[in-house]
Formats: sequence, structure tokens, C-alpha cells
Amino acid sequence: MGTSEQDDGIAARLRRVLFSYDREATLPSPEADADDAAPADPDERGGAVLRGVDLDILEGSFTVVMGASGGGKSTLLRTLNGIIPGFISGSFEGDVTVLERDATTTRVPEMARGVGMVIQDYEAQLFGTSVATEVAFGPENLAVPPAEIDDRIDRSLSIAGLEGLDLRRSPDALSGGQKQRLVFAGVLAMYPELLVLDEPTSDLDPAGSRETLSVIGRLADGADGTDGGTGAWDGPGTIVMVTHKIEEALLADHAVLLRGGRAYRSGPAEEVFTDIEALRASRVAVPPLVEAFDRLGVDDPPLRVEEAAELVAETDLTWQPPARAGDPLPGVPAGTGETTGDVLFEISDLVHEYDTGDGAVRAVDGLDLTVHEGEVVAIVGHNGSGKTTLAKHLNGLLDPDRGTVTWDGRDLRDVRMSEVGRHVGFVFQNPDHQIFAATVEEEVAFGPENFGLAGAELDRRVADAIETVELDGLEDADPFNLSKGQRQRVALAGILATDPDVIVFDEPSTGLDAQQQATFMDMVARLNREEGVTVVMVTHSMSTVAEYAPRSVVMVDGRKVADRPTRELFADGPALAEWDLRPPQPVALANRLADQQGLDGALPALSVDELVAGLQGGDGQ
Amino acid sequence: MSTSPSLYVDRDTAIHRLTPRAKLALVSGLFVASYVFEHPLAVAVPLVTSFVALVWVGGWANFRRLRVIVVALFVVGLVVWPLFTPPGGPVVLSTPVLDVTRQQFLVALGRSERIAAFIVGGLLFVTTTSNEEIVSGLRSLGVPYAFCFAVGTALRLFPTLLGATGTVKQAQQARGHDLDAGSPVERIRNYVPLLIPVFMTAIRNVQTQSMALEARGFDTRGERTFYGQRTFGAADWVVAAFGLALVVGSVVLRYVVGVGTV
Amino acid sequence: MREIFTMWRDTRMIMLVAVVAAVYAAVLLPFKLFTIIPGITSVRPANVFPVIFSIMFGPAAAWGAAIGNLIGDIFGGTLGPGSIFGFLGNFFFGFVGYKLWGNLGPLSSGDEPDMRSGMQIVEYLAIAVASSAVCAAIIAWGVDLLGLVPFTVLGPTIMINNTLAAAVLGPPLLYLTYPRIKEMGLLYPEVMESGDLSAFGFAQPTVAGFGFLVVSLVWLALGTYALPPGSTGQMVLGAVGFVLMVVFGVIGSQGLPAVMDRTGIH
Repeated sequence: MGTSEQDDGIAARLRRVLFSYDREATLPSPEADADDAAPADPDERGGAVLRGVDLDILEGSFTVVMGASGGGKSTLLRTLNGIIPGFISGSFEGDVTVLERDATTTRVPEMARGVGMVIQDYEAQLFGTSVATEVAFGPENLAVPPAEIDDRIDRSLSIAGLEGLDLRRSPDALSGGQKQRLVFAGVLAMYPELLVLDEPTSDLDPAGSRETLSVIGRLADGADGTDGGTGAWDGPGTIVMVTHKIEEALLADHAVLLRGGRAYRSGPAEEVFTDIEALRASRVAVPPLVEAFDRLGVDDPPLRVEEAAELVAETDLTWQPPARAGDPLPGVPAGTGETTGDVLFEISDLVHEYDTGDGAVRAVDGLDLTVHEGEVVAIVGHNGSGKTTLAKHLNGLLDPDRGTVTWDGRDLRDVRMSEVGRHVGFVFQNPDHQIFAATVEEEVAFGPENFGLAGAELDRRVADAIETVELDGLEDADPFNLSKGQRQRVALAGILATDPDVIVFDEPSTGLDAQQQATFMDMVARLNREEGVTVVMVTHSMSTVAEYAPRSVVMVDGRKVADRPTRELFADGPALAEWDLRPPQPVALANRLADQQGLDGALPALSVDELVAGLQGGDGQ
Repeated sequence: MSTSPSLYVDRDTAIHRLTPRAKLALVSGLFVASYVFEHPLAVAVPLVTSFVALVWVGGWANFRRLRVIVVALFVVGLVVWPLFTPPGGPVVLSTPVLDVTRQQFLVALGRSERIAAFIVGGLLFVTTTSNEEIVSGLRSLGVPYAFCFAVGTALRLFPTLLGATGTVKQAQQARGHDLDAGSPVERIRNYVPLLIPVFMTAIRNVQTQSMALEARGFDTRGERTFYGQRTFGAADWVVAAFGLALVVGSVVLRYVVGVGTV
Repeated sequence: MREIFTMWRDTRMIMLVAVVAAVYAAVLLPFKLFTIIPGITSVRPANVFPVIFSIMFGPAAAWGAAIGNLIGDIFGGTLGPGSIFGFLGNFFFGFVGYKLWGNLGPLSSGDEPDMRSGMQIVEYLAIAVASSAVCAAIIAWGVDLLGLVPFTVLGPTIMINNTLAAAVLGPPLLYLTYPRIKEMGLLYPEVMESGDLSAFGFAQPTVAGFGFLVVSLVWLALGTYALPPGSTGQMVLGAVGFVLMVVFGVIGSQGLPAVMDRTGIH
């Protein structure tokens, strides 16, 4: 494979690596007890992040690194190409040897000759004004002769699945998934031996994630479509990836769990991901099927739906669906959206168009929708299907080009933002697009102040909202220094402080890990259950939909193609396939078991609990 | 919805196919011709030429986009320049404030045409030159690489940040923020909640971007190669020569022969 | 002066140039407050950026403002001979601030620009005026030279626009963002190596500081009230003014590194 076969086949070797972002930190001893070292709050920053990492990355392996948020995963990756300690100053100790070079003293651009790196934020990694300049950029930096670059562009675009792309096209005009794959192409064109991937799909929608995942899969298989054996580059021999998504992690053959700033558990991927104790200790989300079958007392729990279905077939487990078509429909696991009232929004024949250089583009095309008080409605569909545009009509941020939107019986065109904004809160995708004030308290007070609140009433509302999102104690903190999950909660608090009747969410969980997503959604669920707040959420996360939204609206090309109870929608395999919606694992397994057992009209489980209950219920029968 | 705000029109005309340097030479020739002459009839030649070329390369929509600005500038020129031009010839327009003489009117009209010619000439360049070519053009003029890189990356980031600017505006609007409230000074200050998220999100990325840049082998000290450099073809030479001839010709006509004065 | 060239050795400074340019252009185009002369000039909130970015990002702000204005011309459809002067004017718009902060003698607060004291606001306002005036004089001179719009019209207009945006928005923006950008480690004295930042041995920072302030205002006044547009006098005044700006740039130095060293919070 590479050039360093003589070095016992080790691509990267880390010994006693310690690091803190604080330049004046006192680093702990690598021998200190790791259990004491674990930070209390995964969102907490500061202190040493790496506390004595010993790790060997085998040449030819695909290693996945997992661990809690803020637990040092990205930090660890950054030692592999010299960014730490060369580019990011802090306190560093230890030895890092990568591809036979001392990565602690070699400059980053030098390390780039062998180590390629892709991080989650694709916008931060695109520098070129066209597809060709973007891919050529790395090779140019390595002084590759221009004549050779053409060939590298072709090869790397083809590995990235972008071979049909117009080379002169501007990267801005690409979708998120294409942009990230263009980043891959740009890195692969440098012919790296070691590829380092830091949550490469976290900022992408499901379609973009799948596109990117298939590139990673191709790299993992070494099947890059080129002829090996000529001594020429034939794909990165070794891959190291950080992710919090289990379906991505399963591409790897080797897994490492970080805990307390050290490699806590490592081994073959399948073994590590079924080691529930180790996963819990490292605060890594246990794969849903592993959790379910562990609770059913299965010794060797399955990771994939197919394996689980086989396992059920081979054992005496039987699937008993929570309901059949025609039965009264059970609610969703979170118990949300169960008490509904009068009509709140009435949308009829809504059309919205955006002006572009090449004429008008119709984002929403003749859509009707009714939302009642107290409902929780999910709006799902691909990027560009018009979800966000639709949502922005619910508080008058956009005006219809045709049709009407009424709120509480009034046409929204006749209602000022200063009035509707108090009642209909809108939480944007990225909290950083609104946070500006010096403290959390001032930030949260901004909305209510604009809507005319003042004095003791304002203070009380702000304090309540901060408490609701569990940021009490951080009132005087600078919101810029909080973690992404906390910043999203600051944005939510700013909306809650106006005491809205409705909250509209635009992909609130983007960029948050599973734990942060769950914390955030549980807060939203409580608001609905306890205070009757109506929730409309645009989301890509099918597990969020399954868990929290009894009703789903599916959009395709600006049209509403489905508006049904979520459980029914998730039972309709052909429809899901047509709209390219992938249900979460418990749903997929329940559907598969219903097929396997020939159960007509079975409705699926929406959560691990329901799956376990259905399999236990079936057990003794 | 990210729609590229670029004025570049992707066509395959003879002007599009020129190297950026040749286009620059052509447009510079038109600029110089618009600059040296004063008489409206003389300035009309480069103005009309640029305009015809602009329409031919598919830039009519761009002109439409800017027509308000062009008309406004044209009118401003017509109003302002008579005030700063010595009178001469018969009075052509009599107003309660002042009388405009023939010479004042002709100078003003010539200046307004010059403004229009500059804009139309500039549009001709941006309509036919992609961002990529602007950067490679700078490079081929001998501008240092790091500077060209910064221009290219800024061009790359601009549409993204323009989109972010729109989102921030909506996000604060949804929180009840009213940009038009208050006195003039307060109206300026109302931009604080907009400007901070826009530029802080951008600046927050600088560390990550610089890191990604070095991880891609970017090195201000190292050797590098340049991919896709275009050679000057026959058409480029012809057009560059034409641009130069325009420069020399109009200077000679104006200062040696004495054509085109008022 | 050498820092405007040596900064190109540092990846972060180069990236800052690109980001400053893109942000400047992306806010310049859509946000206009009051239009003063249609098509020519309006009060744009973005005009605060070159001044505050200069104080924080030093030479990256000078190049960034210049390139940002150029990108504004490219996307706004106003690219032309005037863009050369737009480039130069905006370069100085983003250049003056870091040369003046800490170098204005009695007008200087001696503090970092976090806008926590009245004296800092006074120092900042002097800088906002000087930066605006240098920018206005250079652009008005160039556009007058091109025979497009008389200096008398454009000089005061740009001056008012720039000063309004920079003076009103600068103090609150610095108050809220200076500490955060310092925390990120992106202030130019932290990013650049001190050798790349050193001034020439003959530097006269305070002379340069007041030179920028006084000469630009005198240039603006003479160009507006004393000399007719398109005259030889106007052309010569501009040439002299511009050369003096470059001279002040050469003999000037950056005040923030010294301030930070003195306050010991480097």
C-alpha cells in the first residue's frame, strides 16, 4: 500500500498526548486517573482536552473515533496533520508520528503532502471560484506540474461522484452534498495516504449525507475505479473519521471510544458498538437496535435492520404491532400534540416565487394547509422543496404571491410583525444569525423589549425563559462563548420570553449531536404538553419526527404530497421510498417484521420502547 | 434559496472567448476614448459601441438591472456640470436660477455620456468575464499570488455572506426589530443587531478556514504551480491591438488633430 | 508601512483579507439608509467596517476594504476607471484606523479600543473623521480627475456618509465585538509576528497620526471650496495630498501592539 510498510504497518502513532487550548494550562500527568478527568458537562469548555492519548492507527485500516461532545475527538484528529501543536497554539505534550514524520514539529502545509483532511463545515473549505480551480488548488499548492493536474481532477471528481459536473461551474451554485463532495475531490486530488474526516456529513441534509457517505464507502472499499499495482496512488490507504452517526460509523472496521481525554475502548467496530457499557461510559449514543435487543436479553445484539430481522426470524420472538389500520391511532412516544383546539392557521392556494437572474422560481406552488391549536406538525422534504419558505409565511416574514394565509381568522397580510411576532415565534436554523448582545440575559430580552415589554414583567419573563431552557446561572455569560447546543437554546429562550402561542422551528437540530438534539426537543415537547404551545417544525431528522410529531406534511417541489398521521406515513414503505425519506431503525425494523410475518395493515413502532414492547408482547404468545 | 447575484452571463461569444487580458485591453480602449473627448457626438461613439457590444454578448438584462442608476447619474451630470462650466455661446435653457449656455449644455451632456459609457463598458467586462477569469486575469497581469487568492476567496464567499445578511435581517425582524423606527441617528443604530451577527459569523470562521487552508497545503513560502493558465491566442492579439489602437487613435484625434472638443 | 506587505506571509491574515472583503461587499450592496444623490451615494451602514476592522485587524482591513469595494463594483455593475480610486480610497479608509489608534497624543486614551471609557470614544471619533476624510478626498479627487462628478459635490457627500455610519455605529460595535475578537485571538498584534509589524527606525507615529487627520481635512476643504473642478490646481492638490498620505503611512506605526504590551494583557 503506502511507502511505510517497513514501519510495522502503522500509519499514525500517538504516545502520551496531552493538549489544552489554554496556553498557560498545567497539563495533567498522563498517568492520572482517567475517571476523575471526565468533565461534568459535555458542553463545558476549558481544561485539558487530551489527557494522555495512546493510540496506533494501523495502515490500511478505517478507524472511527467516537465520544461525547467537547470530549476531544476533533482535537485528536488535529494532531494528525500538525494543526495541533503547529497551527493552534495551546499547551501540548507527547509524541505523534504520522507516516513516519514527526507531526509535532512538521509544518501543516508539509504534512498536507501525506495527510488529507475534510471537516464538517464545507463552506469553510471551499476557496475556488470554479469546480476546476477548487480541485486544482491542493495540487497547485504541492507544486504538481499543471499537465498532471488535469488527470488528478478527473480522477478525484470521479471518486467523489461528481464526474458529470461542469468544471467551470461556481461552487456557490452547488447543493450542500455536492459542495462537501467537491471538498473531498479537492483533498483527494492531493493523493493523500491518510485521510482524516471530521464529522463530514454533520452539516448536510439526508440526501447530501447519503451522497457523501457513498463516497466514503467507496474509499473504504478501496474501489476508486483506478488500476492499482502500478505503484501509483490508488486511494488513501488509511482513513480516520470522527462521527456521531452510527450508520456512518459502521463503515469503519475499527472503533475507538474517547473518554476523559483518553482512548477508553478500542477494537473491531462491531464489537465496540455492541459494548453498551463502554458506549454509555463514553457518552456515545447506543445504537437503537442494540439497545432494544439488549433489553430483550439478546447476548449479541444486532446493529443493522437486516440482522435484527433475521435474528427475530431465528428466535422465538414475534412482532406484535402497536396498532393496525382501522384501530384507534396511538399517539407518538413523546405524548405531544394530543390535545388540540380550534383552527389556528388556514393556508389556501399559497404560491411563493423568488426572483432570480433567470426569472422567477416557484418555491411554494398552490399549497393548502390547516393547523389547529396545540398540534405538533412536522414539515419534511428535500432541500429546495419549499419547506422553509412555507414556514416563513406563518408569521408574515414572507407575503404570498397568490393565495392567503390566515392566523386566528385574520389575513396575515393585514397584521403587523409587531403583533403576530409576539404570538408566533420563529426559531431559525442557525442561532448565530441572530445572537449579538453582550450577555445571555440581554439577548433573551431583545425580542420581548421590541414587542413593548418592560420592567418587572420583562425581567420575570426573561428569567423564566432562561430557566426553561436550563441556562440559569449563565445569565451574565457571553452567548458567543457557549456551545452550539446552548446557543440554540438561547435563541429558543428569546422566543419563549415573548410567551408565544405558536413556535415555528426551521431545522432546529442542524449541527447538534444526538444528546444536544434530545435535550432541545424534550424542552419543546414539554412546552407543547404543559402549556399547549402549537409547534410547526421543518426538519430532516426522521427520528425527531417519529418521536415528537403525530402529524407529518411531506413537500416535493413546492407541493404538499402528503399530510397524514406520522405513524401511517411511516407504514407506507412505497411512499417513503418515492419521496426518499428514510425512517429511523425501529420503524424500519417494525415494517420489515410486519412483512416477514405477513401482518396486513400493521402500523410501525416509533421508538425503541415501542419496539421492545411489541417484541415482548409477541414473545410468550 | 441561494441564487447567484453575479452579473456574468454564460454565453459563447467571441468576446467571451477572449482571455481576460484582451478583454481588459478592449474595455480600456473604450474607456480612454470616452475620457479624452468632450463633445457629446464624439463621446457617443464609444458609448454606442459599448452598448451594442453589451447587447450582443447578452448583457441587456444587466443593463436593465442598472438602468435606474444610469439614468440617475445621467441626470445628475446634466444638472451639476453646467454649474461648474464657464458659459459660452447662446443660452439654450433659461431657468429662474440660472441660464444654461450652449457650451455648458454640451459639456454636461458629454460628461453624462462619459459616465454612461464607463458603466456600460464596465458591464461589458463583467458580463463576459467569470469570477474565475477575473482572478486568473489578475494573475496574468503579474499581481502576486496571495493577493489573487484573497480576491478569489472573497468572490467565493460573497454570495454566501449576502445570503446570510438576508437571513439575519429576517431573524431580527421576526423578533420584532424595526429598522425604520426612530430618529435618523437611531435608524443608523438600528443596524447594530444586524451587523454583529453578519460579521461575527464570518469572522468566527476565519480560524477554521485558515486551518483548512493550510491542511490543503497552502503555504506562502513554498513553491507552487498554476493550473489552467491561458495563452494569448491570435484573436487576443488582434483585440489587444485594437484596444491599443483605440487608445492611441483617440489621443491623437483629440490632442493632435483637435477633434471632439466643445 | 512594511506590515501591509509582510502580512501576506500569514495564512490567517490572508483569510482575514478575504473575509473582510466579502463581508464589506455583502453588507454594502443590500443595506442603504438614506440616499443623498441617487445613483451616486447614500449612507451605508457597511461604511463602519473599514474603520473598526482597521483597528482590530490592521493591514488586513486595508486590503479587505479595498478588495471589498472592488467586489461591490463587480457585482453592483459599477466597475470602471473610477474603481481604481474606489480601491485606493477604501484602502486608506481601512488603513488610517490602526495607524492612529494609540498614536494621537493627547487625543489617545492609552487603552485598548473596547469603548469602555469616554476618552476611547473621543479617540475613536477622531479616527472615524480622519479615515472618512482621507477616503472622501481620494475618491472625490479621482472622480473629479475623470471628469465624472465635481470634487465639490462628491467630497463632502462621501465625507458625511462615511462619518455618519462610522461615528454612530463604531462605538457600539467595538464595545460588543472587540473583547470577543480578542478572545478568538484574531487581533492583528496577536496574529502577526512582531518582526513583521515593526515600524521603521525613523518613524514619527504621532506626527503621522495628526498628519492624516489634519491634511485630509485641509485637502477636503480646499478641494471643495477653493478650487474649481477639473482644474490643474485640483489635480495638483490631489497629487500632493495623496503623496502626503503615503508619507504618513511610511513614517507612521501601529499603536495597538504597544497599548497591549503596556496594559500587559497580551
